[in-house]
Amino acid sequence: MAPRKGTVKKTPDSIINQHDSDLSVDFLLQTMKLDVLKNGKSDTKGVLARLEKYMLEIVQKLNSDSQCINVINAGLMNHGKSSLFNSLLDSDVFKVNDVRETVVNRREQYKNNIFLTDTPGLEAASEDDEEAFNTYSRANYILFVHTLRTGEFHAKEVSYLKRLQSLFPGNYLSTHLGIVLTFADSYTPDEVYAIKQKIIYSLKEELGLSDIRFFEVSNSRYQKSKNETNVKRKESFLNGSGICEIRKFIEEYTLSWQAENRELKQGILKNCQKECADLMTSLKEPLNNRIQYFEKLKNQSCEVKAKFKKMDKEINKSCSNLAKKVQDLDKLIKKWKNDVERY
Amino acid sequence: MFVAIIGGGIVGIVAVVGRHDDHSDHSDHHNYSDSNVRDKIALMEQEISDLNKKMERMQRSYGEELKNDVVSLTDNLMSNKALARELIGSENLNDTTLEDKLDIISAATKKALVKEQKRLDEIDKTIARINQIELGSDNLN
Repeated sequence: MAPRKGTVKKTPDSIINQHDSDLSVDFLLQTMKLDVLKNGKSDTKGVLARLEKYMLEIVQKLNSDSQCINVINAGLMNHGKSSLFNSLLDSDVFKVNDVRETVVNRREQYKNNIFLTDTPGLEAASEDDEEAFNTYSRANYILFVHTLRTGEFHAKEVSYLKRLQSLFPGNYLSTHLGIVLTFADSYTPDEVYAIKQKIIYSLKEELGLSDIRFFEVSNSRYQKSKNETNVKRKESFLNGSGICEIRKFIEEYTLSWQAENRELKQGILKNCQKECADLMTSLKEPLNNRIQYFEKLKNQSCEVKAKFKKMDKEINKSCSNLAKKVQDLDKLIKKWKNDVERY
Repeated sequence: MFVAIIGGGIVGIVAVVGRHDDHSDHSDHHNYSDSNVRDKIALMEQEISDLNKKMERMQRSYGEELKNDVVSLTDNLMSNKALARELIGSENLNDTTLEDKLDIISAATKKALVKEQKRLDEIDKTIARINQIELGSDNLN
């Protein structure tokens, strides 16, 4: 999953389709902030317990999501994006038509933790472009689908790739982007090579991207392989479809993408921990104010007690002194009386 | 606690002087001849009387000081009515002696401070627990 650059607008449809932890984590962080704001002063203990619970939920979400691989297609409308994914899935789950069928992102499980997301074709409608771009930021790998029928890259494709590049930091895209050339069966290897060279040139000149991986596919060959009963011909169609090559590539890179996910989620977790710790620290402020008030009273009462203990001691001392003098006087008078009586 | 300031001490001394008065019959002193002894007795009586007055003054002064200090303490307590209510609850400080007021406030603040410090510690412990979490941990304990 790609490290996000900047904030990407989220639409309700993409929320439904992404099954991604990022939104849940953002939501939980916002909930935590609101809880502290609303109840921080009155119910510190309760808020503290809830923040800890929210963090537990965040960790669980990040844990489950770090295993999840997102392979997402991109490209202009009618270049064969949905057909490519149908071939990869060996099923017709994504609608394919000359008219615009994919208007929202649709996600299907490919294998265990690997998911394929079919995006709306670019250029069709600006809101659909937004829908697609929201999803790219969460891609582990983007398969940019280009039909050989249109020859080299169209200016719009270069422009979209530039926008795509702006979503990611550094040269992330150069290692997480593959160009899929569809309808490979309609052209000779030399023709394909010539178009490919032009695309390589565009990628380098316009986007500064080099060593981009290319896949040449033929969905019709793949379909033929499914219907073919002759084993050799079936195998020939299948190998010529290029679908197995993409499947193999995805499976080979799964562990590496999961490691990237983990690193990214670790970063998200660190940020969440910091935000949570900051929120918890903010709970200390009202407590410190209370402590200050109680400390002041305690110190004052201790001072008053100490002062009066000292005064009490002084008075007691004077009392003893006075009592002794009264006693002395008493003795003197008694002695004097006795003396007088004797004489 | 502050028995002497409040007045217990003086009562005791007055009693001693009273007992002395009962059996010494000062009016007869002049019937006895030894003027030196009589002068000495008179001097001691004067000393006792002076000391007694001094003690009375001391008691009044200290008593006044205690009253002012406790009033100031009560004013500080009431500077935050909500916390004051939380601190002393339903106890009516007006009906208590100065000494009791002092004891109530002192004990309540000590108790409250222990409680608040415990809450601060709990926050620090929770922050430490949160910061120890690593991806892959199933719980926070």
